[in-house]
Amino acid sequence: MMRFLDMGGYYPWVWPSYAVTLVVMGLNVYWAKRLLSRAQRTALRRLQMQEES
Amino acid sequence: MAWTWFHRLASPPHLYRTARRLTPWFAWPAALLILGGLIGGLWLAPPDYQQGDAYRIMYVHAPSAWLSLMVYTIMAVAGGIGLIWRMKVAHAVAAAAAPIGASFTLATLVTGSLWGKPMWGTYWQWDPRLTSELLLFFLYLGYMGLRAAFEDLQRADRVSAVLAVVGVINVPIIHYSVVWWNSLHQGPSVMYLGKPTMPPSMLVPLLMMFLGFTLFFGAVLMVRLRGEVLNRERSARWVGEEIGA
Repeated sequence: MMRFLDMGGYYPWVWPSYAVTLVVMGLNVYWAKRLLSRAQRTALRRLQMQEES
Repeated sequence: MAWTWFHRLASPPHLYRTARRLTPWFAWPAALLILGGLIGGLWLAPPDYQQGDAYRIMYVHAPSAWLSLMVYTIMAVAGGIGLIWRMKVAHAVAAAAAPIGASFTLATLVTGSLWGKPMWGTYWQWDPRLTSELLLFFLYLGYMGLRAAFEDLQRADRVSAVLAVVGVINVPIIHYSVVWWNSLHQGPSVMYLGKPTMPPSMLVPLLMMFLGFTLFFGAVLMVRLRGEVLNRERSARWVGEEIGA
């Protein structure tokens, strides 16, 4: 296991590369869900206001 | 008849529903392929005879670089369609894709730097491939900045689409920079003269990552696209039916 984590001595560069990529992927999922839920909330509010007026 | 699907996709409600239906079809294969690619690339593939285990950075760097180029090309094509046929949803596709492309371009630059340090002895060189990729990142930022600068959505769509179309000239420059100029960056890794340059134990995980990243982009794009379409169609009647108002 230690040999795997050591990556032949290249661990200071290999693992941060994977970490950066996984963070970018996670942020993309989070941002996309946030964009959609905000758009849905705004649309819902607008529709409710239209019904009330 | 053959263009019916194209015209149907131009309809915002149809695009919204199609994007919702397609999301899991992109997301699940993407998750499985990326998981398989990670296991293959980090665990099963042997170390490289020259680069040792440092070459494993390639399994996240190369697919990120592929996405950075592919997404910009999609933005330019969508922007062009939006400008020529005045198709609102094409602009929505380009706007939805931009942050995804920008983030993967940043990932390409960071992982490339992390690969460069042990291989070239430096995190950064003003090398043609690195410089043109950095320019692509600025093009993405410029595209998103331009969109944010205009309050009028139609004007933002048109102006940003022009930048996307003009900026696409940078895509072949990035791709062929290692061939046209003397570059520190290595040449094509996957295919050279139509033949793979690496053994299957290294190539298969890389191809899984390429496909996985592409499908991941598809899944995220579908979710963002629904948000973009909703923001543009807030007052339309179909929106009420879709979001349960």
